[in-house]
Formats: sequence, structure tokens, C-alpha cells
Amino acid sequence: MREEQLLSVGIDIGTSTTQCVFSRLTLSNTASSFSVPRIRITEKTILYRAPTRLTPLSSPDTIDAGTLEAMIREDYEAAGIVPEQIRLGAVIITGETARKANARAVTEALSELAGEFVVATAGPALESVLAGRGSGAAELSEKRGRRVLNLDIGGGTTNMCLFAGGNPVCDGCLDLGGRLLRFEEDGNTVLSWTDAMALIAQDAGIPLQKGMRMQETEKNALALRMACVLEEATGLRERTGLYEKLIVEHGLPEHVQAELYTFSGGVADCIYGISTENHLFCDLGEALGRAVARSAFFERERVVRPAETGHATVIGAGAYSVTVSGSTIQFHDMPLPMKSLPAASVTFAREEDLDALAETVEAQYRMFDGECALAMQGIASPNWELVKRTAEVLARAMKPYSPKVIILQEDMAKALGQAMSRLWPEGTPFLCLDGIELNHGDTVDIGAPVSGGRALPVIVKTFAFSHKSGR
Amino acid sequence: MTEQEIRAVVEMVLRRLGQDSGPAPEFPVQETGDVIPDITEVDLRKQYLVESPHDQAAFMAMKERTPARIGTGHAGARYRTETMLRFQADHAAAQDAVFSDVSEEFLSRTGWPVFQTTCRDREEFLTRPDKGRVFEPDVLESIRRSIPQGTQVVLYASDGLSSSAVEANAADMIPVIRDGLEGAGIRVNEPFFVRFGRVATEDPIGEATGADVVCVLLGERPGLVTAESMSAYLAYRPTRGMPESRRTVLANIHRGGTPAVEAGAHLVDLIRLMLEKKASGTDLPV
Amino acid sequence: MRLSCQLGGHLYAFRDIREVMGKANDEKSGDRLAGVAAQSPQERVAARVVLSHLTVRDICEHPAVPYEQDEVTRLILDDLNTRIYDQYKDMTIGALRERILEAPAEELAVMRRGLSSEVIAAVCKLMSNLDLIYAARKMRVTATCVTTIGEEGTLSARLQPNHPTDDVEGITASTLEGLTYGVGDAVIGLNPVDASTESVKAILNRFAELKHRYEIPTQICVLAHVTTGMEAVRQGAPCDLIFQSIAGSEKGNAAFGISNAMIAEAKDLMAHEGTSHGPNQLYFETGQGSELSSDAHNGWDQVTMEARCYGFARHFQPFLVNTVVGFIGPEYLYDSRQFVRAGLEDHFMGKLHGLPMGCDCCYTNHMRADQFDNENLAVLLAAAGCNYFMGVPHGDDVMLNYQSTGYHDIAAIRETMHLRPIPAFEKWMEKWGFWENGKLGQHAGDASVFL
Repeated sequence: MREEQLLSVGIDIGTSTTQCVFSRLTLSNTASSFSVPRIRITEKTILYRAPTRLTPLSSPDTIDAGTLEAMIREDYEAAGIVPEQIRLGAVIITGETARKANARAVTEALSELAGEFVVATAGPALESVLAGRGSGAAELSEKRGRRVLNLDIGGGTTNMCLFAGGNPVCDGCLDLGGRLLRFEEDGNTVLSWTDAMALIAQDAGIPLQKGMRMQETEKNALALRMACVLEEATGLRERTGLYEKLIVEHGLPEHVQAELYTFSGGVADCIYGISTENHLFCDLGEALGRAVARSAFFERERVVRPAETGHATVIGAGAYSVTVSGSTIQFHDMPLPMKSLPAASVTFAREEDLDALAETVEAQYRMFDGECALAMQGIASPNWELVKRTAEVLARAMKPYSPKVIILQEDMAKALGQAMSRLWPEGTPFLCLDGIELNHGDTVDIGAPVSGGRALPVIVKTFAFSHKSGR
Repeated sequence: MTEQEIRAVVEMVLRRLGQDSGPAPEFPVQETGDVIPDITEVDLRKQYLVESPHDQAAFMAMKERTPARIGTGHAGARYRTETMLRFQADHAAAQDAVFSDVSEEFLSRTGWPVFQTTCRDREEFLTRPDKGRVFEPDVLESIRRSIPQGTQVVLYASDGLSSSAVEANAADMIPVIRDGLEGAGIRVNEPFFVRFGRVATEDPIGEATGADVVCVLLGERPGLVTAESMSAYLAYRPTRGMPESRRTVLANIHRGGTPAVEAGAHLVDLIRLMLEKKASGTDLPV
Repeated sequence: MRLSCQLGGHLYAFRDIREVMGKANDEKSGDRLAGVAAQSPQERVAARVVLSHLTVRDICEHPAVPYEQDEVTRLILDDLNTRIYDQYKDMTIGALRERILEAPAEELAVMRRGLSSEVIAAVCKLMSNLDLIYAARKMRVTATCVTTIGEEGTLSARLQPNHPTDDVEGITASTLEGLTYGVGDAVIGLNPVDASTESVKAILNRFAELKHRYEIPTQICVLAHVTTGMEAVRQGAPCDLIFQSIAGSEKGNAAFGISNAMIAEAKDLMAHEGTSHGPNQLYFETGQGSELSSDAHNGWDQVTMEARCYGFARHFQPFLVNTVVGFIGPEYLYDSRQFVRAGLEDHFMGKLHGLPMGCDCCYTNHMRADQFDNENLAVLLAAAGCNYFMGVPHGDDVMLNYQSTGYHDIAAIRETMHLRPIPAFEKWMEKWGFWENGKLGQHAGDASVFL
């Protein structure tokens, strides 16, 4: 069997809109013949994009869960897909919506509904990475050998992520989007605004009042100030106090040094002048798009239109959130899929690390109340004596705890796993896989085996992304 | 002058030089700073020697996808010195792997008994594949006697076309496989080494011992990328003249491919599957 | 028919023509493996003496595999022009050697239509290395697919961008760099790892895309089995040439999974559905020893069996034929002396068959040979007027794990020997700045100019 195809779903519940996309992922063995297989996702095909709809709210603070669920059910029906067919995917709640009172409950309920291995995710760092992968910025950075910064401008937030060689380098998030200010149906009468908008308006010297009719010049002035903040965020303009106030969790480093820029998110279509129904939203999106199109980003041909704009995040969630483990791994009697397991980082990259290994493992299990996966770098091409000694240390240290899950980066999981399982009573549930890079605080979801049981799909949810070692 | 006399003169001169300059030289040439770094350590995927390129970054992004020696630049219509010497170094390593024997030091360290096919020397081994597949009757009898009755799996290493591959991988792989099989209650032999051996040495060994599975770890014909790549060939109850399609192959075992211990662990599962299904090669449903 | 001779006071008697043909060969490990080689240098010369006295008819009437048993033999003999054969049939092989060395090119172009593959092999055995170069140099053979290969003053190269896992982007990287050195005017042709039709189509599509985007005047090919090549064409893949490895006997071809009828079908398919205009739309590879490796040599030596590959090939009027001279390993060609000799023999025999002959000058790491030897062979063959060589990044094929001629070698041989690429391709190179005044140009080696 050379190829296997999996259906995947991505659902993005954003500030303004909700989107749902179905994709087909092709897994193939990319190793040369007569070698141990190496399973990779080699093709991603979008099968169906459900129409974009406004995210239903039952009150300003609460998502209308019932209506949302009905919408998603309709999407499955329209696509001709039943949840049982879906092998994996992700529900992501983004932007302003993530701050609603029932956000977590809603995504978890939806992920249960959407399919067996559909995980619930949230968080600005992850959103930034997924948007950049989904837009095609990551691939662009790999293909062109350039540092590509993707700015995903949605209704409530702008998620930024810099990619080099296909990998994320750093990210940032701002309270800045097309729907910070909403108008009545006429498109001019001010209906409502967010706290962030109040700060922007104050800075731009434009008073806001419910019911006031806003002139085009005033809209443009607000949009211009917002475009300036984006320039500040990306090192194209000196940073101001307003920029600092709009940061969500963290911004980009000051000298981000991108070579190319891509824009995605709902506002991107206004930037690239793609005809859409954006005026229907009755917000500042269109003006913001026009302002960005005239900004410093567009000097010197540094902007590339990515493959995906409006659907970048949802495609990222559906098609780019999953990776595949190495195919020499060891697991038995584990209930899969396993969802939302926090990664406990354990230092093990050199022989000398063995001395403190038992202690570190115990400490991590204690910190996570026993509920965690042990994430280690491992050793490239280790010798057997070292593997056996490591197995003895780990088997003893892990014995009292459950689940017993080890995730390594280097290719050594099968040898280590076999050695360890011989040290426990037969049938002890255990999972040891490799080929996955994790950082402390990440959360992993591990799916049911693919490729005839050789490999496992893994979804890594990164929360503290910008604190990474800059890879 | 004889060679001995010359050596004596040279030694005398060296002694005098040492005395004249007083204490031992202050800058011994073996200091790291004085040694030219190893050119075979350079990562070829990252090497780029084109002068004043139009767009280096864009090319490097593409080059990342292949181990081919590209982006090397040129001197006139010839190779640059650095890449030419690297090519020669890699070829030299490959030739050493093929034309030298597995060292005595390695064999005494592992303690593996050595059996030789009917090839007299390496040249005969390279030019007469037929002779590298069989043993003299007394040698085959010694192999048989070294393996206890009821052994289910016979496991051994053989030089094949790369002695370097055996030295780099076999000593790690064999204990992984043995520990794994014995842990599952499967009887496996004490390992041995076959000199001047080809894949089909499995067949007479299988027939003589009556083992269910025979597995040989064999040095692969080296390429320039690595001279240390090993393959494992496995067969369920091999016999002379059986179709080659009855062998299962696991290739590309080396540091940059599948690491030896992982390959060994993989083989444990594969051998258990063969014992269970009583089949190998294309007959084995994987 | 005399099968014995006196030499240096010894009597040498041979059983039959097969034994004479085997023992007259220059030393090859493959002939020893087959048990047909001379036991001593003197016996070898004795066999040559005997061979020099045999006639064209003696050899032609004793094909390596009987006519009734072998479709390759039937094809070779049925293709002969009987009138031309009659003109030469009573000539001894020794006299034929001299006639070939004396004759003008026009006469050779006619003569070859009366010579069977065994006769060509026989005369080859009496040629020294320089004889093989001198005689071959007179025979220009051209063929046309998209462009025309083999014109006087040209040396072409196949771009061979092989990759250990057929990664299309990696293949593209090697391809673009090769083009900047002027490699690829013979063909852009990949040996695939994954021989599935899907994979072959994906690579053909990429080659066609590159050819179209950069307007490259050349031909494209993926060297999969002929049945896969045909399937890809039937499914609409762009393809200028269909490839197949061939052998010198029906049994040898069966081991490759082919037959006369199958190659005829491929030729016909390309005429109707190929993306090139032709008339030459096939690509064959050969190499001494392949018949022995599949026990299909019928007790004959490897030079004779190789000649029969060319007899088979010429029936189908291919665009490219090359021997992959040192790929098979030391059990057939042990060292550099043997593979240099084999390369010169194969090129000569191919040309005398009227084939547009190229050569993959190459060696594996278990042969006693190195890149210097390989450069020597390439220069000798360029002097002999060889149509094309391979161009591999820095001479190192990372998929087949052997060494061949590198991009730089093609460029250096062209400069040194005042040879040029195919004219249309040369113009294209000049436009990109890869070639100026018969030398590499300012952008040679910098594939990033394409990006």
C-alpha cells in the first residue's frame, strides 16, 4: 500500500464569521524502496468550502451554540459527508469570539460532533501559525527561500507569523480587525465598537458616538491609523503607545526582518481588490483593506498574494494542523485517539542526561498530576547499550504513572519502546513515538493509527509559541 | 644504504634536532588549530559555491530537496578544488569499504566465529558471485554444529560489498534483534560472521540448520553518500534455487538512514510476523 | 572453415566458432565467469588469428542463438540486405577489418546493411582501441525526435537528474542546474525509483512544464519499463521518447519483460500519440554482461551478445541508444582497462549497425576504477565521435549509486575538442548567457537565473 487518503475537517469560529472546509489528505510512503517506510502527508486537496456565515451570538457575550451546531450539520449535509467519515481535523475558535463566556464548551461540543479525531483548539499563537500555513505563506517561504510574514486580518484580531524554510519563526497578535467598528445596515451609522476601537479612535482624534453618521474621510482616517499600527508591528514604522496597547499576549520582535509579506483573513480580499460581499458586513473592513493596499507594505513589490486568503485559518485548521509520526514506533493497548495531553519537557539529548533522567521524569509527572506525555529530543543513531540503560531508567521512573506516553524527536522510539515494554508486565498500556518536535507546554492529540498501523497522526497545539528557541 | 640504515640516520638527526632546540617544541602540529578540518564533515546540502549568483536563497530552497551535488560552481569548465577533493574522499571511503576486510579488532571484540565461503580472496569474491554463495562441505558442517538443535532463527553478519557497513552497524543491530526475540521466547543462535558472503549464503545455511527464519546482515554496495549502509535479507525456510522473491529486504540501514537499533527493533517485529505467517518475501502479507 | 592454427610453436585448435569468438575477446571478467575466455594471452591471439581467416558467411551462418529458437536472431537476419551481404560474404574478417578502416563513410553506410550483428562483433574483436576510435569517427549517424542529434561537430548530453525518492522539486533543482552547463540537448531523462504510472506521469508533466516555460528545444523522457511508458502516453502524459533496456536474445529480453512485438507496439504508439514529431521516438539502453546475468547468453561471449542488442535496436530506428558500460559490476568488467575497452567496442559496434550511439561512461564503487579512468573513456569516445554522454551532478548519481560523467565534464570536453551542443539548443543557451563563443557563458552554473 503506497497511498492512503484521509478526510479532514476544519471549522473556524471567528469574530465575524464561521467557516467550515473539508479536505482530503493523501499520506504516502516517501522512503526509497526496501527501506523502513517514512509516511508523510504529500497532498492536500480542498473538497468543499461551506458558505461563510456570520457567527451566531445569543448575546454580545455568548455564542449561540444551538444555531452554530445546526449550521455545521448543514455543512456536512451539503458536502455529502457524515462525521463518521472524518478521520481528523480541528475546530478553532479565534479572535474576539475566543473570549466569549461559553467559547470552550462550544468548541469541545463541536469537536465531538465533527468526527472522531477532531480536536478543539484556541489561542492566538496557534491561530497565527495555522493561518500562515493555510494561506500558503509557509510553503512560499520554503519554495522561494525567503522569510515570509503572513498577516491574517480578521474581524477582531490580526494574527502575524513569520516563516522561514517552511517553519514558523515567531508570531504576534493584535486587537485589530475589520469589525472593531460596526455600522447599521446603511453602512454609515455607527452601531457599536470594541474597546480596542475606542483606543484607535481616540488616538486618531475621531470621536465615536452611537448613532452618529460617519463620513468616508473619518472612516479612512481610522483605517489609516490601523494600517500604521500594522506597519509598526512589523518593523516598517517606529512603534507608538497605541501599538503597545493593542497587543494580545505578545507582539512580533522589533526587528522581524521579513522579505515578503502575504495577507490573509477576511480583510485580505479588500486589500487585493478581490470583489467580495464585504460591504454586507457593514463594518470597517473595506476601508482598512484600502488603507493597507496603500501602505508601506506595498512599496518595492514585497507583497505576494497567497494561494488562500479568506479561508486561510480554516484550511490551516483542517489540513495543516496534523503531522505524522515516524514509522518505527511502539504502542500497545492504548485507547486512541488521546486528546489534549500536555507535553512535559524532559531533557534527554546526550548520554550525560541519563543521570538526572529519573528525577526529571518524576518531577514532571508530579507537576502535571500524572497526566502528561514525556517529550524528549532523544539521540540520533544511539548504540544499543545506551538504549537499554535509558529503557531501564525510564521504565522504573514511569512505572507508577499512567498514561505512559513518550514522544521523541530523534528516530529511536521502536528500539527504546521494545526495551521498555519488556521491563513491565505484559500488556501494560504504553506508547512511544518519534519524529515529533514538542515544546514544554504544548498540547498533543494523538490519533488512531494510519498506514496499516505503522504511524500515528499527531496534532500539536502550540500555546507559548514565541518563547521557542527561534527555530 | 639499507632501509634500516636510513631509518637509523633519520632517527639520529631527529634526536639531535630535539636536543638543539632545547625543550620539546612549543607548538606541536597536532593542536586543533593547526589541523585542516575534515572535508567529509561538510554538509553538502548546505554547501553553495556559485560566485555572484542571481538569487542564492531561492536556489538553496530548491537544493534542500535533493542530496545531489549541485550549486557547486565551476573553475573554467571544471570542478572547483573543494568539491573535487570531496568527491575523491567519498569515493576513497567507498573503495575502502569494498576492498578491505572487516578488521580483526572488530571480530575479536565481538567474539563472533568466522566462516568463509568458497572464495579464496576478495578479487575472487568480486568476480565470482557463484563462489560467494556456497561453502565447502566441512565449513557448512561447522556452521551446523555451532547452532543448537531447535534454533528457530539463525542470524549472522556478512561483509558483502561493504566491510565498513558491518563494522558500523552489526554490533548494535544483532543484540537488539536477539534481545527482542529471546524476550518473546524465540530461540536464536549465537551470532557469527561470514567472510566473502553474498545474500544466497542464507540458502545452504537454512538447509543445513533447519531454522525457520534465516537473517543475514550484509554490507551494501557503497554509494558516495555513505559507505556504511547495510541491508538485512530475511527468508522463511530458504532453500537453494528458490525464487529471489521469497526474500524480504530491509535496506538503507546507517546513521543517515534508518539507525541500526531502530532497524533491529523493526526486524524483531518482522521476524515474529514471518514465524507467525510461515512466509517471507512477496508471500508475506504486510 | 579452419578452426586451428600454429602460434609460437604451439598448436591451438578450437571446437567451433563460439569458442573462437569467446577466446578472441580482450580480457573481461564476465567472459571468465561464463567460462568462455582464453586461458592465456597467446591463446587469445591464436583465436584472433583463426577469426581473421573466417569469412563473413562463416560467421553470419552461425548466429549465437539458432534462427528457429530466437526472435532476435530472426529479426537480425531478416533485416539484412541480401545483395549487399553477397558482396561481402566471401571476405575474411581480417580483410573486412582493413576494408572498414579504409572505406569512406558512404561505403560504410551501405556495407552495414549487409553485416549481421555477429559479423560486426567478430570484426570488433580484431580492432585495437585506436582502430575502434578511428573507424567509428568516420560514421556519423543522425536521428530526429524533436531536434536532430549526431551532426558533425556536435556532442550532446542526456540530463540525468535522478533522485533517491523521485522528489519532483529535487529533480527540478538538478535539472535546472544541468541546463546551465549545456546538458540536456540529447534528452532530459530520469531513472525513476517508483515505477508506477502515476509517478512517471508526475515527472513527465514537470519536465514538460519546464520545457514549455523556458522554451527549451529538446526531448523529455522517463526511463520506466516500456509498458509503463506506454500506459503514461495512453493516459495523455507528455512524452517525446519511450525507453526500454534491451538484451541480445529472446530469453534476455524476456527477463526484461519485453518482446519484439511489444517494442513494435511502443514505436507505433509513439508515432500516433507521442508529443515529438520523430521519426525516431525510442530510447534503448544496453550493456555488456546483461545476457549472462539472466543466463540468456547461450554460452556466447558478452561482446557478441552486446552486438546483437544493436541488431535488435536498429530494427526500431531509435533516437538514442547507449551502453551503460560500467554499471553492471566487476563480475563482468573488473577494472578500468576492461570498461574502457568495452565502451570503445560498444560505441563502434553500435555505429557500424547504423545507430545514433551514445555512451554512459560510468563505474560502480566495487570496480577497480575511478573518475580519472572515466574521464579518459569520455575523451576517447568524444574523439571517436560519440553522439552523447550522460550529465549527472558532479558525476555522482545519488539514486543509482554509481558515478558517471558530470555536467562539468560535458562542458570541458566540448571546449577542449571544439564540439558544440545541437544548434537549436546552443542558440537557446546563448540567449540565457550559458554559452558564449563556444565556451561556458557568464550564467553557467547559476540555476537561480531561472527563478
